[in-house]
Formats: sequence, structure tokens, C-alpha cells
Amino acid sequence: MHELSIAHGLVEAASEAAREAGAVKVNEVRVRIGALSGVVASALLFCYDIAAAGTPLQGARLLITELPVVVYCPHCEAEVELPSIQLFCCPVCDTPAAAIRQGREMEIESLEIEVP
Amino acid sequence: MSTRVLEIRKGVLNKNDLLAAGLRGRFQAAGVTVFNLVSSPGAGKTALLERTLRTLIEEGRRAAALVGDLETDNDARRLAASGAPVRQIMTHGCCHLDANMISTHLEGWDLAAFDVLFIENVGNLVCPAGYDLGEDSRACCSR
Ligand SMILES: [Zn+2]
Ligand SMILES: [Zn+2]
Repeated sequence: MHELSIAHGLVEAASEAAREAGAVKVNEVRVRIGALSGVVASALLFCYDIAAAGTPLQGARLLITELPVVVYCPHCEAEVELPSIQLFCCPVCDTPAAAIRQGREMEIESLEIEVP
Repeated sequence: MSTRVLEIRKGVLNKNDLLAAGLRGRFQAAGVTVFNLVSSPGAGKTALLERTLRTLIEEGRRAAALVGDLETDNDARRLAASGAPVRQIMTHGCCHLDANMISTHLEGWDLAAFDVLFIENVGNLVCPAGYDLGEDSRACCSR
């Protein structure tokens, strides 16, 4: 249910952008979903077809890039990728690290469109 | 006909964020403090709100509430017993409130007539976190 309303928001925003660009057809939509966004990619894919029906996005492919969580480790003085969203500790040195640099994204990256 | 790639880089919740910013402006202009109450299901948000509303009304503070509920208006009726103006937002199965639902349910209310407005979100800790409702603070209730 949650992904259905996300899918509606996605379709609405993408349709608007396609219309503004004068697209006659949308071939593909690329989105980026962070591990902390609360969105499950498979559920979003499932809901997307329902949300896209009857809109300019009907029939357009949805490509989802899933982004892992990246935090800044103050000890390593570097950005590190977390293997799990359960444990906010640096995988290299085990220092607790809470400064999130990536993982909350829920954004439309690009559209592939046909223009006259 | 030619194929083009449009770079967008736009948040999916962009529209909600814009609406929420508009609401925040209205709340500030009216001088009403707004709380967004979130919790996991069954944590007792309604009981807490019931007590809070009753106390505030007894103290002569002008409090009101918007209550998100999946299907029924039981919570709203229970809260209205405090004497505070209460409105129900029926989400029909949606697991969170969004700024548009708030905006439509505020219609006809004079916000300047309230000191405090509580928004009781749907019992769910996952997605309400992603939806700004224009509140001043988000309060999480746990047992
Ligand atoms: Zn939701
Ligand atoms: Zn480290």
C-alpha cells in the first residue's frame, strides 16, 4: 500500500516532466532508492504498473537502482558503505558512525523519451 | 521522431514537500503550534492524545486535532468527547498521512482560533517518517 502511493507520486512527477519536455512517449524511467527510504524495490515495481496505467508512463520500463547506506567514519576519516541497515558502525574499524551520506534517496534520476 | 534522455534528479516526494512548506507557512501565520504524533500500531497515541486534549481544554487552551485512521471514525469520536474540535482523516488503507490530506481536512477551520493542533498519524513507524505535514515537531509515542 505504501509503495502504491509512492508509485503514484513517481508517475505523477515523471508524467509532468515528460509533458514539459514535449514527449510523445516515455520508454524508460530510472529511479534511485536508498536502503533507508522505506521503499521495497520489488513492491514498487509491482505497484508501478498499476499506477502507470492510463498515464503517459503506461508501458514505460521502470529501472530501480538500489543504493546502500554510506556513512562518514570519523576514525577512518572516510565515507564507508554499511553492509546492513541494522548496525551503524564502520565495517573497517567498528567505530559507531551515524553521519549518513547516502541511503535516504527516493528520486527520479532520468527519463528516456521520444520527441517529435 | 528522436529518442532523448532527460536528467531529472527530483525527489519522488517533491510535491509533498512543497505542499508541506505551504502548510508550515499557514500554521506560522496563524500562530498555531502543530505536532505530528507517530507511533507503531497500538502504542497508545489515541489514549495519550485524549488525556492531553482534556487537560489543555481544562486549562483554557485552544487545542484541536486531526486524526488519521484507516477505516473507522471511532478515535475521532472518542477524542471529541474532550470538547476540542476534532476531525477524522479516513485514509482508506493508506499507511501514512500526506500534506494534501492535511490541507483538504483543514478547510473551513480558522487556524488562528487554535493554539495547538495535533495530527495523529496512522500507526506505522516506517513511512510517516518520509512525509512532512508542515508540523513544528514530530512526536513519537512508545509504550
Ligand atoms: Zn505509507
Ligand atoms: Zn572506520
